[in-house]
Amino acid sequence: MRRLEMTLGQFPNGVILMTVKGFLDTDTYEDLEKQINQLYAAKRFRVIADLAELRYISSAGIGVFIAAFSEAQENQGKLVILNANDKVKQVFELLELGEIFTFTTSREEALKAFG
Amino acid sequence: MNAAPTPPLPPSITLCVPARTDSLHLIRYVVLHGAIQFGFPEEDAAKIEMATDEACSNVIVHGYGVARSDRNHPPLYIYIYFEPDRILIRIVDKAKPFSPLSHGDVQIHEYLKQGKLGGLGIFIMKALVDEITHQYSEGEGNKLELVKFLPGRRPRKS
Repeated sequence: MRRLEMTLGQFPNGVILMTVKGFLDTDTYEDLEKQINQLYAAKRFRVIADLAELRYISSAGIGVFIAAFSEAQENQGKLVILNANDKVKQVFELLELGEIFTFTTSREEALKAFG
Repeated sequence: MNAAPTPPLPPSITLCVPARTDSLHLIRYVVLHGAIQFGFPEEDAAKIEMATDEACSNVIVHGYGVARSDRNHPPLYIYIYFEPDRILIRIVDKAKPFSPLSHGDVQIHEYLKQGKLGGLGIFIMKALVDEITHQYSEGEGNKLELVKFLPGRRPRKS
């Protein structure tokens, strides 16, 4: 059984839509890390992570997002979070990351974050 | 007038799983649903679930040093006790001595500036439960206990 699934899409302005579904924990975080590394290796540093169907995130998953966020910034890009549910958002907030990451609730709002 | 009879406490649960990262899903499922059935609101049950996940992840990754592809998988024991005012999760392993309590509190913003990513799990664990204790002995290995009180049942500190 696959506990973490990711799909990629792209908006006309080139921003990547990465949908992350399932459970992001110590068992699965490397899959997400690999996916993001592939994007960044292709110089795609403008990413919206759609977490609407992410049911669980642990510190291992948060660590991937922190690293991805920092690397995007270093490369004049951005990582924006879309549709995180309360359970997932609370973990970011517990780690005082709620104001560091951009949380959005619609694709339009997420795209606007890229200016 | 006689007091209303106290409902019996649920029996304790014992899990023995391979110390591998793909055991975490099952551990979380049992802890989450056990806590909800015991009477914790879902939000609190999710905190117990997450603290247990972080504790077990530490044992698997740092205690035993088990990689995802390893075929060797020593046992990890998780005991769930339902007590009158609280739930107690005891995690027992035979890995090298490791106490999350020996790690100082993480200052998240300093942490981010330094680009360090380890240690977040211990921070989360400490933040989500009411009490954590750790003991190690040569014969019994590590024994980590996580306690969370039912809402409104946490004893006041004297």
